[in-house]
Amino acid sequence: MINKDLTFLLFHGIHLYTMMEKLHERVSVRAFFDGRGKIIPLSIYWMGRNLKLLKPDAIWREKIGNSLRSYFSVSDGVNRFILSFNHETLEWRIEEVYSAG
Amino acid sequence: MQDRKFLIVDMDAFFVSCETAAFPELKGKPVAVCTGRQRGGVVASASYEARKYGIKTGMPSYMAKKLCPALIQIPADITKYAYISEKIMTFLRSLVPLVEVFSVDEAFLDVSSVEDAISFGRMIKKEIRKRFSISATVGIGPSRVIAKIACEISKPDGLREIKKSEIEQVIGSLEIEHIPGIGERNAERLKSMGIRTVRDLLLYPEELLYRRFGVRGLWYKNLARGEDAGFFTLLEDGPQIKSIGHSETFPRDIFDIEDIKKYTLYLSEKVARRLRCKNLAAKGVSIYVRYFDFSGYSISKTYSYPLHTSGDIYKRALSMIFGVNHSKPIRLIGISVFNLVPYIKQLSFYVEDEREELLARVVDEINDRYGDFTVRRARLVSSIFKHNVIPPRGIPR
Repeated sequence: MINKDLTFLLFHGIHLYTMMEKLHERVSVRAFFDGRGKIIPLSIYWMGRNLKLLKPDAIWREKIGNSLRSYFSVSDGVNRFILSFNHETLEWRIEEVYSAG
Repeated sequence: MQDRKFLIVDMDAFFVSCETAAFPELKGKPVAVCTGRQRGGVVASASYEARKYGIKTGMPSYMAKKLCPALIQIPADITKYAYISEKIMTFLRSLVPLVEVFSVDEAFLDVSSVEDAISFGRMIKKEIRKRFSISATVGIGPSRVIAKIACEISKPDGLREIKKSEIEQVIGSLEIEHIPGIGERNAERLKSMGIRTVRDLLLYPEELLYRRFGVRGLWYKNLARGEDAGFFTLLEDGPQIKSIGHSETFPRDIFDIEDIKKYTLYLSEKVARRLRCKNLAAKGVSIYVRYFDFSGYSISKTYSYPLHTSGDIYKRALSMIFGVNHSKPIRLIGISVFNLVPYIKQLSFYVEDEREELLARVVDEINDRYGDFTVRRARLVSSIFKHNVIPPRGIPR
């Protein structure tokens, strides 16, 4: 779903991101787990491409009932992804993608 | 006895800072986190770049956009802010034993036993920036109110200590609205009495202040002296919950009686659930109604008996809301309970009361496991309620 209402559009003629898509789509992720709760997504396989990710800019968590979900704001240097990891089902999803169009 | 010393850590434009941490591309740009709804919402937090255009917290989003057409508006993500806030507070608690969380983005630390408070404050700022990519301002003083003033006058990204001997010199010439606890409206009232600065307030006769403002006037005087004056929760007493409340800006203005009932029930459920979680009951209910044109009213009532269930709160809130003739569409309703007392279960003559309590307990158990409102009243099933409320104080549950 493309959400054009949300901003991140144009700023003084400089493109931040021109498009934001809400996906909530399952995705394959290669990640580092340190065994003490620290998780770092390293790369994602998306749209037939393997995208290497930079260090997460922000990580936050949400508890819905007993289930815990971690969110990661990551970038491959071009696009920004909001990834989620469900600690119960061990499922990774791309929640949002911000791209330059 | 050793003199007390307090340090306040206040995150700069916290909601915006959380967003710029997640989206570093936004750094240095005029950004506002908006809440409520996409059209007709309000600014919950504005970056310092946006503030230069006159954008303030509480301002309608459309007005903010008018002031700064290049403003980047971001919908509030309360989950993100609550999590980051909790992490920061956990970090602060690891440093000193006495920490008072004052709001989602600020906390007081008792640093009486810390030898070099300035270096300590510098370390806190550095760590918060390193761990969370958020800038914070630190204020230090012999009381919480002085620490808070030190913090306010050195924002953003500042660090300042006001020593006991400097209090009069530093805060005397400040305008009275700089004193935490004196709101905009009362500052105007004080100004109309010729009290413009803290020094003016100190020189004003206590009796006249009492006559005009009641006990609050004496509080103001104490605050101007740099004394906490019971305005802040005492660290020593541990956290005290004085009230529990929720408010909701609706996706569209409402006028229909059924809609008003539905939202009132929804808010009563949320308030009652938090009461039950903390094993408390309330002897007071207050409601707040805001109309589409930002005018509004509030009503509070106290009762001689404690209220505990959603039904109890709903009935009282509804009678207060419908006690007023609404001639305009409503954009926000808030319900809160106060005069909190420990909940003591009493045997009831009525089977219905017992059943309602048992039902609430079972529903709570299911919702604890699967998430809030997984099981809800039939009246709320068809409604779309988003958790987009940002409480002014305290970390949301």
